[in-house]
Amino acid sequence: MRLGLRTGSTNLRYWRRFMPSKDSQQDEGELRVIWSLLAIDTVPMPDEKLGKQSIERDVLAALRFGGLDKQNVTELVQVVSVLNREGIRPLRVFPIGIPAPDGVGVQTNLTLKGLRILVDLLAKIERINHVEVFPLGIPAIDQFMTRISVR
Amino acid sequence: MRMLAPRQRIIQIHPTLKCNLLCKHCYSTSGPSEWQTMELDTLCRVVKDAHEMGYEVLSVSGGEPLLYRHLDEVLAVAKSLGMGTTITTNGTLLDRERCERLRGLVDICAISLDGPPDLHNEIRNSSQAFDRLLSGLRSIKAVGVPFGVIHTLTRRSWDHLLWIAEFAAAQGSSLLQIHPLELIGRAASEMAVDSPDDDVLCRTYLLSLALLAKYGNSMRIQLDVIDRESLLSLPEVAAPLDSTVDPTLIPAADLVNPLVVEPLGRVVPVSYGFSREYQICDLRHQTLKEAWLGFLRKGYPQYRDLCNHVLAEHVKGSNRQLFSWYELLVKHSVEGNWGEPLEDWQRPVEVSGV
Repeated sequence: MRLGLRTGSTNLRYWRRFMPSKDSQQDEGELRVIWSLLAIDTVPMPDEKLGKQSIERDVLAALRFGGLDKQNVTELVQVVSVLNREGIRPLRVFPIGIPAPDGVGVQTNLTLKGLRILVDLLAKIERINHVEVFPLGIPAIDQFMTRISVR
Repeated sequence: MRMLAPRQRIIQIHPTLKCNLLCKHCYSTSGPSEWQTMELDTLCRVVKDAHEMGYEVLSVSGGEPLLYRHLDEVLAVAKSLGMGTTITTNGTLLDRERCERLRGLVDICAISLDGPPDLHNEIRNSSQAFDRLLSGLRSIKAVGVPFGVIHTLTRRSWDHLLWIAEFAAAQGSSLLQIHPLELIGRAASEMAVDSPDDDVLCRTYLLSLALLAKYGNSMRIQLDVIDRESLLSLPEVAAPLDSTVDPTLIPAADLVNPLVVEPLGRVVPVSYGFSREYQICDLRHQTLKEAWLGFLRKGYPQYRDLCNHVLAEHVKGSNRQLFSWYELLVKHSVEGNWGEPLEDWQRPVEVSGV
């Protein structure tokens, strides 16, 4: 299921019917402003799995327009660089926020050793918004899916 | 994304300052009115010396390397020695005939792209730059020379990275290299406000991870910054050796990497624009091999002290997470006062108007 306003020419024609129109040139310009303000249909709703196609676009949207604090972004980079130093791969970045992405997170799988590194690191970092650790269980009993995010 | 990848030992040469464009971000202040080029014999000699000293890859930049008339010969010499070869070009001079000549001589041709057409043309100071780049890409693809896209990251371009990555992938690029703008050369006067700050670097770093997830299987994503943790935990990147080790026992390429040959023949450590105080030699007066022992006695300890100082004062002592390490070294090599007074042959020579 996908909610939200559709964009594109159909949407533009729909809005044109309801817009006061004195000057078609000006009308087109106003409509395009509205179109850009309402361009939210690229963000999937909760019951729709995030497409690989859109992840980087939503990460960019969160980084550009999400109002993310500079310090929070820096601390997330710090987390990534510590995990990277320990050779933990792969590290995936994902967007947070529906319908408008306003945060980013990092996801990876950690072993117990990796979890200890993360806990040590979190003690030094004050502003991480959310940490989620999920034991994957059988057969990967020593693996923990971990998500760290800022918003 | 290049993070902890093994480092290749690179000699980077800038054989000419000639260029058909006058780009705003040019670190070497190259342009159509510049004419300085290096002699073929000098370049072939330094490539052979560098190979014997352990350097594995020849990287040719400029100026526009395609305007250097002996480019093919220099690349052929490197290939005959078994070295890897790369060139960095603005792509506007790549026609089919030129690409045919490059085939077999170049392992990867890095083509500069500064953003979507309008931004690219503005920075390149040419309304035709993007169209000609497209034409060049068509030629290089048709001939089958491996190529990558190199992007100069600015405050205005970082949020175009998705477009740039999509463009590069659609063209069949095997590499997207993202290199933060360095404020030297013409960039210092024309693009000072566009330099990416720490916040932009951090956001680009996270975005690059997302690009890596999408394109990593088909296109290498390389962001030319190093994070604090890697810098502090990889001493061979930050500070070459501690003072107790005799540098004469270590291969040259492990001590100074990359090695940079500037258009007038100056050989300097790691990056274009490094202060003359740390100059290894001037190829107009000495060969690289002849100069090396002298450099180890005098210049190398200064270079090592500079690296250690920058690491202690500007990495450990700061809250930043990401560093453009070579730019940082260049900046402090120029600003710092670490060396002894220059000898005559080391004194600055004005490049323009020589």
